[in-house]
Amino acid sequence: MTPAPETVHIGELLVRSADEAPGGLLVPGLGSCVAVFLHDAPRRLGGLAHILLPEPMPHSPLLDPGRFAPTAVAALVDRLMQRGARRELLVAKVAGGATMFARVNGVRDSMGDRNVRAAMEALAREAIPVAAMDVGGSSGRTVRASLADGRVRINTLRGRPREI
Amino acid sequence: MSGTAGRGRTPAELSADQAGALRAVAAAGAGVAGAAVAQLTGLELAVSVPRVEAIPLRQAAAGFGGRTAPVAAVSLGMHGGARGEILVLFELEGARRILGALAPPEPGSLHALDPMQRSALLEVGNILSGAYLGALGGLLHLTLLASVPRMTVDMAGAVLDPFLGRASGGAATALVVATRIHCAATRIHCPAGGPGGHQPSAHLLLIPDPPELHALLDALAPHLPPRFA
Repeated sequence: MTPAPETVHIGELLVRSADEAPGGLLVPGLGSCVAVFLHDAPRRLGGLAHILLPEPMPHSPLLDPGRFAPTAVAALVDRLMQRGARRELLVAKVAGGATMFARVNGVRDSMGDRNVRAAMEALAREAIPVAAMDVGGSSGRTVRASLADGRVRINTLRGRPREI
Repeated sequence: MSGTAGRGRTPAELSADQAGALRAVAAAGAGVAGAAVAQLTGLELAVSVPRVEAIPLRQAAAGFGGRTAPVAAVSLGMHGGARGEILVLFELEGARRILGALAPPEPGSLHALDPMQRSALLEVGNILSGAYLGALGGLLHLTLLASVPRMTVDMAGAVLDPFLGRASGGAATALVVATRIHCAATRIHCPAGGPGGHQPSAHLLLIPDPPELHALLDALAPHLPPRFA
């Protein structure tokens, strides 16, 4: 039987090795949120962040770094390095950032668009290459990342499963 | 709860008074919505409100079978005297019962809805929202308006995401009005006695902008009908 994946809830980030989480890491029902997966292939070590917002809100307490794109990416890199990952080997995959309801007139960027842009900017600041992405559109995604080989499988309600 | 005032109060719990006032508002709205749906369709339909509760929005998906469970969702903005968002969610069983009456045949799945059925659910969501906002606004002497409705069918978690992100950093509270649409006529398919027949047909989530939530609830308290006092 395939081992069950470990779920990363909204605003969380998890770092695991392939041995610790043989079923991989899972974000179920991702809408405008964005999932950032960082992987160190030789060490079979990776981390997944389930990011809610492009940046901290004014006046909002900074409770969980995983909620916001800049703090989530920085914390993910820190935790991976603490676990022995080598920064120059880290590769990113990004998924999510859908626009779940049609844009209201006059609104150019949806929450999903802003989340994706903020995640890409944070990865660029950390100088981590983005190997693949599956972002935008108007459909929710369930994202499952394998720590053994770095593959990310994406399921939607209607379309065929795909892999990045 | 609600014994403590101000910021210390847990936003996700309603006092008995607040819950009672909201139930009364929702029941009044249900009456209007039932009449509106009946007028729209020519069918004898009634709307009732079996349950009203306040929950943290980030936990809402659990009530719909989990984050990956399919839902049909109608989204409207609330503006006027108070600001916020409204989301009307239909699970498959609820949608089947409504569409069995309004736009048959019953769909086998939510992503197999034809355009007419999507339009019917959109209109039911629109009517419910307008009726509940009218009842709430009438009680509070506020003009509460709903924006043009938008619709999608997708995973519950994905549908709720954008609302979680807005304005609150993920800590928003939703006032959830469970709504049941009954069939009063026997000539339409109406499995009221069958599986799920007494389950809610739809859930309306009112998500006030966070600064407005307590103001809205506090404003309700003086309007309690005697049976809730």
